[in-house]
Amino acid sequence: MNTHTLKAFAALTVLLLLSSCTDSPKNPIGESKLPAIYPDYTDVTIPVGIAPLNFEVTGAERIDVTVNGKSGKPLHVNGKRADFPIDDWHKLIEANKGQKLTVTVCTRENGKWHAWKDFNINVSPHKLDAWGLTYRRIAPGYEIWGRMGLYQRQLANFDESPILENSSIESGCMNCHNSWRTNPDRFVFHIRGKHGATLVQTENGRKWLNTKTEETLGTCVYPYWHPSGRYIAFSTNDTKQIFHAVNNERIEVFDYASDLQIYDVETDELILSPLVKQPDWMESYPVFAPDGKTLYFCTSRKYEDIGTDYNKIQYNICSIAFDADRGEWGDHVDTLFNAVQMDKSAVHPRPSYDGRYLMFTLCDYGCFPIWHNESEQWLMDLTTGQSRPIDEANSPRADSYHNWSLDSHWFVFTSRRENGLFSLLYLASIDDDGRVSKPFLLPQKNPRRYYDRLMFSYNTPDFTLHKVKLDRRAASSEVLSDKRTPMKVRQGWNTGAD
Amino acid sequence: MSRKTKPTVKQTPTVEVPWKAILSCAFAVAVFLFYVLKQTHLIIYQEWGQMFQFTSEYFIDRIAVPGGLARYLGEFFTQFYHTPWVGAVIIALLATAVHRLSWAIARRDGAGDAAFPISFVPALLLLAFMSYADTLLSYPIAMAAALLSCLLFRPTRKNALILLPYIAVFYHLFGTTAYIVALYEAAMLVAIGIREKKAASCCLLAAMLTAWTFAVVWISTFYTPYPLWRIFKGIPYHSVPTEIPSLQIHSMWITSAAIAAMALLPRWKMKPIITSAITVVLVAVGMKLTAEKYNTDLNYLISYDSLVYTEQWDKILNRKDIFDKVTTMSVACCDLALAIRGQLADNLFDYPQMGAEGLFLFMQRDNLSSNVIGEILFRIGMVNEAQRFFYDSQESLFNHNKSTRLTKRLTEIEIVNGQYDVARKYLHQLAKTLYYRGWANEQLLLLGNEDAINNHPLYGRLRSLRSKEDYIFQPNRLFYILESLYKQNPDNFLANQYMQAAIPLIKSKKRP
Repeated sequence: MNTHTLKAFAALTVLLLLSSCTDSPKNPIGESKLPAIYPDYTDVTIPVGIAPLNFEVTGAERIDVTVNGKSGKPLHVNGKRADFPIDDWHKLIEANKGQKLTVTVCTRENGKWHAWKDFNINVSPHKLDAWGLTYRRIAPGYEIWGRMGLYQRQLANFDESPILENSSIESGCMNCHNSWRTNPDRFVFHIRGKHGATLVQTENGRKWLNTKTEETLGTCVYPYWHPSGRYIAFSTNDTKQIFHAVNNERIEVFDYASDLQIYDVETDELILSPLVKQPDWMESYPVFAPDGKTLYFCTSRKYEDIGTDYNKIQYNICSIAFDADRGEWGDHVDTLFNAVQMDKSAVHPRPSYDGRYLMFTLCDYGCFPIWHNESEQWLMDLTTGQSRPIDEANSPRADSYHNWSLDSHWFVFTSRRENGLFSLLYLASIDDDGRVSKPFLLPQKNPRRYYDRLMFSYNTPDFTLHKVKLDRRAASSEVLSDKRTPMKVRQGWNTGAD
Repeated sequence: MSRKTKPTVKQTPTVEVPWKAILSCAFAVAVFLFYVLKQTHLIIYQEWGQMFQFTSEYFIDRIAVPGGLARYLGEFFTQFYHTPWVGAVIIALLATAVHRLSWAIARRDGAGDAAFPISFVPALLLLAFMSYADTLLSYPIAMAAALLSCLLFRPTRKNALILLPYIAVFYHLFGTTAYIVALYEAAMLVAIGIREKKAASCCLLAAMLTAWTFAVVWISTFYTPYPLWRIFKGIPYHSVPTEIPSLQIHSMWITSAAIAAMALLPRWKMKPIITSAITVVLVAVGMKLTAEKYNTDLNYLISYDSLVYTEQWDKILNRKDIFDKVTTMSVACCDLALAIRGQLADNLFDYPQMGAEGLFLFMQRDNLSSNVIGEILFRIGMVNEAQRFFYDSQESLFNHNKSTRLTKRLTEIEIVNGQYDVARKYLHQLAKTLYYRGWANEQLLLLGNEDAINNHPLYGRLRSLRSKEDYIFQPNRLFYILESLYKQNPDNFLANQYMQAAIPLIKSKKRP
């Protein structure tokens, strides 16, 4: 065999090998439908800087995907799933801010290629002002908790790291975390169990509080920072669970009692008011308005016989003034949203940081909507007072806890739309006209594998401007030491006498 | 004159009896028989308390923590406990390996045959530690790995330096059994140093080695998400971190001391028959004392739970100790067995009772009781309530393992309730195991097939038994719940059995 022949043979071999590796679509059969991709990222709106929306096509042996934008170099991937190179993805998204990307998908099934209908991914003109997300991960259990922790996830890639895991605090329960306007330089979370405490971390260091006092119901539970960073609104809740017998219901979480209090970070005082500490009413989920002058919360009449009256517990959303300079509650409560009139319950009020909207969750009854399939997100326009269900984002299964990004154009929420039990995180945007985009599932490197193998739920997600810095080792020692800062209590409400 | 030579006498060749090997084998057989005849409930308990999966995520999750390889290997071998006698073989082999490795190390370092009986001490300590039901197979594996390390590294000054990086790696793979390596090597270095009149340098190396070992563990506290005390004790050897027995740490230093003692003791001359006799007596006494340690309250409860799990109803009813040691758990298991046999209402007071509390165990909230309560409710058709107990039982596993038994039950309930997406998730997990993948793949084919599920002997029956009306579960209304279930389906003979038993038990205030 001469040299030429050898070279031609070698070249042909290389070509054949390469072609079997890439296996590009040849004469694909045209399909008029959208590809059955998982996760469903068709026609979603994403921010610049988000991690690649990797996906796969159900039933495909191999897929070939091209992403084109008006500007920038198109992306092309070919493999078992669409696994976009992170840097190239970011460049393409950045180049097409405010535009749409067209995604062309071909799949090979039973040896034949199919070319599916193109779909769009819209790149929002609105920046998502956040480094990442913080959340708790816990199994969707009943009365006993196992492994859990608070975690943070960078949005630009798939990196996740623990803030604190309960293995380091002898399996305590931790949750109810909140950053000061998404800035984790001021951070609070609560630990229940043998070494219970409330952490308040500021630029001045960490404090572990014992928030239980003689004058209050129990420990401080659901937190929300005042925009000044000086106060934290808390509820204190006597929470119980009851259990349903039929297949489509599981748990009912409810409060026997709950009240509100405001914690002064500088003086370690709990500021109380009888208006939000009523014996026949329950008050919960306090949040400050972005100007700090108002506190929104939920309130419901109390019922004694929970076994029979559990489905009568329905919350309205109310507001009360707060004077940050004097550290005083207002002298009256206003009803902002009367869910009881609708025979519903409204909980989890969350104002956008620009003061325009108030998002909340509506369900048939109760204060723990994640266990209610019918729960859905609602949006109140604070300028008009009008409220509507966010049909663009809701699903037939539970959609619940949400938080805004600092720029107020994005929100993250938990949803059980995937399987009805495990809560996952979805992000959606809201434009200047109040239109909400189709939500997209938090991206993962290999989403099918990741979400199928994940045996935890995501809870209480929030955006974070930068990484939460917590010295885990020191925090663990401090928790286990049981050294706590006690609270002082003062009555602080404006009687209107001034 | 020629020299007379003595006539050569033909000598019969002497056969050296491998008495040490025989004793080791006898020990292995004794351990095997002890476990297979008396402790299968512990083997079953360990098997269902985990769900080993052949995935990279599982491996990475384990290996991320010091001792992770020991835990991974321990869980790998524990999955074979699915066949209890295989579990007994594994334990016997590991205990014997610990004994033989101890002897090999001591022999290499100068032990005489007279010291052979002492070589069983580490293995006996190991078995004593394993009398605690929550001691995991990761410990004997880590112990064997430590002893193998001692065998690989003869105690010399040069090896003491090589051991510095080795111990760091070993600790991360096998955990705090690194103490065994460090303590043995250090003890021998000091002894050798004294013997060779190089005490100063050897003592320095010994101190350095010991200090370094503790330093490696201390450094790991900066990146290992566990409390300090737990890291120093050792993470993966016992599944209940707040109840780690002191025997865990004692067995480590005593092992090092025992091997060092064997190596350093004078080489007394003793006939093999004498040494064998001493060995037999020592091991027999040791095993007897060790066996007594297995008679704990927890192990007793585990024995009942395992009989319920394996549906050995007659064995429960025929237990010899059924009247001697009565607990709410034993009563509940016994009542379940009676109910399954259709004898609960008629023969209720022929067996020990503890009022309504013994019937359903609702006041107890440990994971064993939750399993039994779950099994009772599951069979009655109260599947949602059963689901809660099974789920909580799984969450209460202190080492955060998932459980094959409980995941299987949760899957069955999700299928009965038509929650196929969740069932699929669980089945995908079970499909990654060795012993449950077949079952999981069969169930995956059923999902969504309503006819097949309705006609399934288990799923179809439970669908017919479960309540059609919602109610809130309250233990004090259990009688009315049972009544309602029975009215909705008169085929629910278990509900009927329990209902009939509940009345006299609620009235009765008798305690045995």
